[in-house]
Amino acid sequence: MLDCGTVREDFEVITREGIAYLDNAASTLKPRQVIEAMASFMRESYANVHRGVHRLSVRASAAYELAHEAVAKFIGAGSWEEVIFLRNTTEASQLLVETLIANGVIGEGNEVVLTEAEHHSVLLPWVRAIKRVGGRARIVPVDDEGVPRWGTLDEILSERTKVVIFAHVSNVTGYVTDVKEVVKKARSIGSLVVLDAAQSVPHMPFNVKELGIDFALFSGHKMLGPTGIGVLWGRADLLRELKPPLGGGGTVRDVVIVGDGVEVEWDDPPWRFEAGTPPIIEAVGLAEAVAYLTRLGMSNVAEHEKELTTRALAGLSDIEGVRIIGPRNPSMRHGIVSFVVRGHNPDAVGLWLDSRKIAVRTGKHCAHPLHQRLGLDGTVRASFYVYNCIDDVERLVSAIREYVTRYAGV
Amino acid sequence: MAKVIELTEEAFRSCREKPTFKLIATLTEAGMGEEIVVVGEDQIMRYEVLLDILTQEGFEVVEKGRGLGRYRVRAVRG
Repeated sequence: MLDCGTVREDFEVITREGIAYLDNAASTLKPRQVIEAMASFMRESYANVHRGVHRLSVRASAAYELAHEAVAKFIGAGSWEEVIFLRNTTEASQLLVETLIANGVIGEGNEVVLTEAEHHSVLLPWVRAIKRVGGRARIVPVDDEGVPRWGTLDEILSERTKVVIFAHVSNVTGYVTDVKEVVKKARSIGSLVVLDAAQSVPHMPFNVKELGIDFALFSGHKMLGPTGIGVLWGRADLLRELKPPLGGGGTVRDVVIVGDGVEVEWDDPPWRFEAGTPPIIEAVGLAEAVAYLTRLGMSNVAEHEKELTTRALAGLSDIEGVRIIGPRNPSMRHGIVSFVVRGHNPDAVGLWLDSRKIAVRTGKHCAHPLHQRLGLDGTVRASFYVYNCIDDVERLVSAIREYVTRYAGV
Repeated sequence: MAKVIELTEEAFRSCREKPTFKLIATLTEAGMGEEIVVVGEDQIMRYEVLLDILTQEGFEVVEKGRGLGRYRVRAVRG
């Protein structure tokens, strides 16, 4: 059981400003433990990693490697070498598709499958890249609730399919895809599976082995960690075979100039994929965030959010003039409730909520095709996390009821 | 010189630069005695909603007018 009242005490901005922060799908607040861990590291242990032979570098390198271990354990990875630190989910997505292209895993005549509901961080890099190399993107359409019509997958998959990539949890509807079912179908034709886990790793128990996926992408800042760090997880056997498309400092064992080219002996994963000075301080912050969430227990986190989501759905559905986006069935969704107030611009509603100290996101949430398909010019999105309590949901529902009462007839 | 915010469809540039974001940025940054003018359309933000937000943010409306779905409001932070 998660005690959100106690959790809140670790988040100064909530207690100081009395804010109901419901914009967690965009980014989460940071507990004092994460802030202190990063500050302490910067004060006492900072140096560049894997480069110096002085003790500060040794200390920093150990902290950086421990962060890989912490994340690996958190997601049930086989080893820390499967965890690559990048800037964010978007960068992880870009790096992965370019790596697969550079290594000939996907190319001319091949297909990648993704859905109409994808975030731009998946949609843009993958659709553009596959087209660039003479392949094709196949799109799984969504239904009128914005739920991918996975029943059409059998018609879409073929021997040309090399990758199926999709969001575990939609950042707009909160819909939770049955990953194992998609994996089963993808495997039957020998396709790789990449999971956009940005909205799932922070919110529920997550195990890469149990899910049976090949790669996963997620961001530190959406799970109490700092900005500037994201994770690309990949199966060890795959990563060992793949050469990185980006070279730079820290990626090689040796480089020799031969004629007008270079011969490279790449370092092992994950280092070969982490070009340049990595997000060291951020990794320390992420490790602390992982420790914080582990202490809470991810089952408790999931159960807590489920209750908040169910209550929000029930409360908002009851208000005339409010249209809930996505499946009405709470068991099909997690942590996110998007809605519109009919006849009212979502941005205006969001701004009005802000004047009541309720922070939500408004707009198309970097998922423009989904909004176009649903005939929407934007939505108001409330998303929940560990420091939200029932009173936050009640404030939201009550505020929307007040808005509709005052302005619905205007 | 009063800062002018346009809450109009025409003023929308991108998700990063939307009119409502410019409005909230201006409201939160305005100092005592600072004057703002909002030229808006009901389809972006209803006139009454704007007036309510301005009041909540500590502004006094000194001049207002509306017609045909558009409005112009001048307000001063008290």
